[in-house]
Amino acid sequence: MPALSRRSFTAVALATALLATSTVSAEYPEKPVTIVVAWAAGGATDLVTRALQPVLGKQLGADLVVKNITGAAGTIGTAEAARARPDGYTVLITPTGPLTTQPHLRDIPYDLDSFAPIGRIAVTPMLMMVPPSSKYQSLQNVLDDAKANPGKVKFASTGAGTLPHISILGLNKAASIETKHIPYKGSANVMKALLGGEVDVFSDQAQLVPKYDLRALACWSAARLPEYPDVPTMKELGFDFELENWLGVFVPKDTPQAVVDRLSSALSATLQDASVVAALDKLKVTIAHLGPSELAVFAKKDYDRNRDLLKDAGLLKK
Amino acid sequence: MESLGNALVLLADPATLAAIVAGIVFGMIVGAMPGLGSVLAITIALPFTFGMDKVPSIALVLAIYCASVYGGSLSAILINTPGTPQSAATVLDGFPMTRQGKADLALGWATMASLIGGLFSAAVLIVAAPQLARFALRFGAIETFALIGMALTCIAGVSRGSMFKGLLAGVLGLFLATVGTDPMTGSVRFDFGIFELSGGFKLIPVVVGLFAFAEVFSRIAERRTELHDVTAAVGFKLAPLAEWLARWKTIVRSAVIGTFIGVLPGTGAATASFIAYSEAKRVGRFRERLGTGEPEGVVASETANNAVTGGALVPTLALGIPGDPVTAVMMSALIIQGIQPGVRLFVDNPDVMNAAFMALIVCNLLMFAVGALAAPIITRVLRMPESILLAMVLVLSVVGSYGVSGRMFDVMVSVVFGIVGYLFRICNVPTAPVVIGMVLGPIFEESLRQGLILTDGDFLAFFGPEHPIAMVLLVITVLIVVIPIWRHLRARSSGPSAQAGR
Repeated sequence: MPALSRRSFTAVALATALLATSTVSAEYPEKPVTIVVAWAAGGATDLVTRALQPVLGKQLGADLVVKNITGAAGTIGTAEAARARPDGYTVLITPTGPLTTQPHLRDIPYDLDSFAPIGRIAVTPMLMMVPPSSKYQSLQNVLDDAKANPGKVKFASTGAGTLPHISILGLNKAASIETKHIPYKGSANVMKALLGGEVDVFSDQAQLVPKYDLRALACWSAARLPEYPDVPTMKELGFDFELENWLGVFVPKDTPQAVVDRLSSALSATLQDASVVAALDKLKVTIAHLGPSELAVFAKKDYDRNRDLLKDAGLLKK
Repeated sequence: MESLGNALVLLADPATLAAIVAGIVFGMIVGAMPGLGSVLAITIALPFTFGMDKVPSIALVLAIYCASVYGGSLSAILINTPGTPQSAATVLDGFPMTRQGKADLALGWATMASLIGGLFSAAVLIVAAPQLARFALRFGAIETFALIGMALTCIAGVSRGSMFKGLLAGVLGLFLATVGTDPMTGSVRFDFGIFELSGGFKLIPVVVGLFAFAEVFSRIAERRTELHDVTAAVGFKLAPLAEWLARWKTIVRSAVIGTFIGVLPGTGAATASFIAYSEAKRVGRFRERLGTGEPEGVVASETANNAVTGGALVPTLALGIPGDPVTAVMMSALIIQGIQPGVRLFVDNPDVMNAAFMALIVCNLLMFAVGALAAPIITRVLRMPESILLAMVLVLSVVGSYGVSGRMFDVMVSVVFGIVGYLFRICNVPTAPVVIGMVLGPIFEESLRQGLILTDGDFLAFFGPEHPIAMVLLVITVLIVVIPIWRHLRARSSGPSAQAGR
């Protein structure tokens, strides 16, 4: 009797387990999918996510729930996403920072390879900018001044390890100059400091330039931006250096391939939807879609480049 | 004049008025709930604005903003728990008034004070936004450091009982603010190997713990069967005009402090209400009675925190630089509507902006009306059986601290600080200075270290001729600290009877 019941119990358990695994891969998604945004509601990443939410949900055939888990330069929310069960019900939408620079700076419970890429959503080009009253008319002016007065020209960033900071490290190295780095809490704080004359130069997303009537000196993208045809690229100015922010979709590693495929096809359909294109255009975000394998290569390149720059600056974690 | 007419037409739209009323009711409720603050209130409403026209959506967001700041005072007065950190200073006199059975009067003072503060700052915003914005730009890291240094002296103002214990609590708050990511290097400190602490302590879970949880714990410990010893007065009552006139200086001073702090990016309403409160304690007419249920304390705090609303909109609208998370969310609401705040805002959208200004005034007036009408319902919580009320406060507190960043960790933080707050009460250590330390700590550190980078590590250069504003603030700070000590010493030397200087 006991042997029999144990056997039947095992059989039932096995059958349940089999059933469970088969439903996961065959019928994904069968419940709401949580999108983790590691930044506050109303921020840039959050706004893009909420613009995608209805269409992506329809494409996927599931309700999407946006969960904002904030703190520590996006690493808290990203760590939460990395810890989630790899079943496709937890999806991360993130800019480059938490994945490609933060793991180099300090011990955090994830790394770039804790995630499997689904696709890139958009790219945000960066410009080097100075206030309208600045004495600098060109990058050359800045470099000459920095050479004449080492450690005196004040460059702002939005914190250690952020893209504006990486841009400073990159320029310091490429042009062999010495500058003063002042970190602020966010780009709004930098704008105040820049307009108030507390700092001299800042590099960040291009849309800040028209918003605050700033002067753009150089473009960090590979080619000139259509909106700023007169602003030369770093490459034209003689520095082989490219830098841009991007927004990508990731899931925890070991997510079943079928789920990854389902998500990536839903994402690419979403990014072609007219209403999404219009909504992102309103937010001044340019869609630049990449599939999972291309994003993997692209993100790894950023990751390696940032590690090298942070290493040269002595900021790599011990 | 023509655009003013257009603005009125835009505002008279029933959709706009409906948005304002809905926003006020919603903002008041969310603001009154411990742990749910202005940011959350606006964020929840944000998706609704996607499908709305420009003016109604701006009116909705403004109404929620003003009402949520006001709503925080309701729970501060009625249940000894600030609904938002902005109302932490309201607790100090608001709750003692409720205990004396004067809840209706306390609500009257708070509501009227909020209206005055809101209208004053709205007027300043409308008249002088561009000029004030230019002034705000001159406030760099070094000036901010000097201002925060001055603000820290208000720890003395809100320390009931022992000054020594108050200072200790303030220092604890400053220490708590250093936990987490170093703002300059990005390295993590004082996290004791707990990854969740690498983001530092969030303000709301700590405030919820120190006030809401501690209140519940101590009531359980006291086993008090009823909430108030006196038959609680429910409803809404305005004090006679003579009482208001007796406190007019504090009202004006608090409105100016609130607006000024609001204009400076990065400080916020909690700082403003604490500074206004400690100013009332220092020079107010009824300063001796402050902390024992004196309306002047409620008025100081509530005038100041609502005066921040108009002030904070100055850099947000005129420069496109939001000063705090609340105005940052409001700015995204505007951007969604295709309105770009900044230097060209008034040139590009004069009608919409005039309508927004009118809406701000209407919001404040209606907020008073809704507050007065809702008070009889809200004050019913005082008649509620205590066990049910405490259970509700606990549930809301847990939801609120979870909602801050979506982590159970923050709920644990609240519980731990609830125990800390309870112990503080037993030892008669004031809790408000902890909040001041936590609010001011991060800005204090950031501005100090930015300033040191700017001056190449020369601290004395902070107060040199290049920074006249900082120098003035430093002198004021020194006077605030030295004068009471000097008076005290003089009073002592001229005999024990001359204690008036204290």
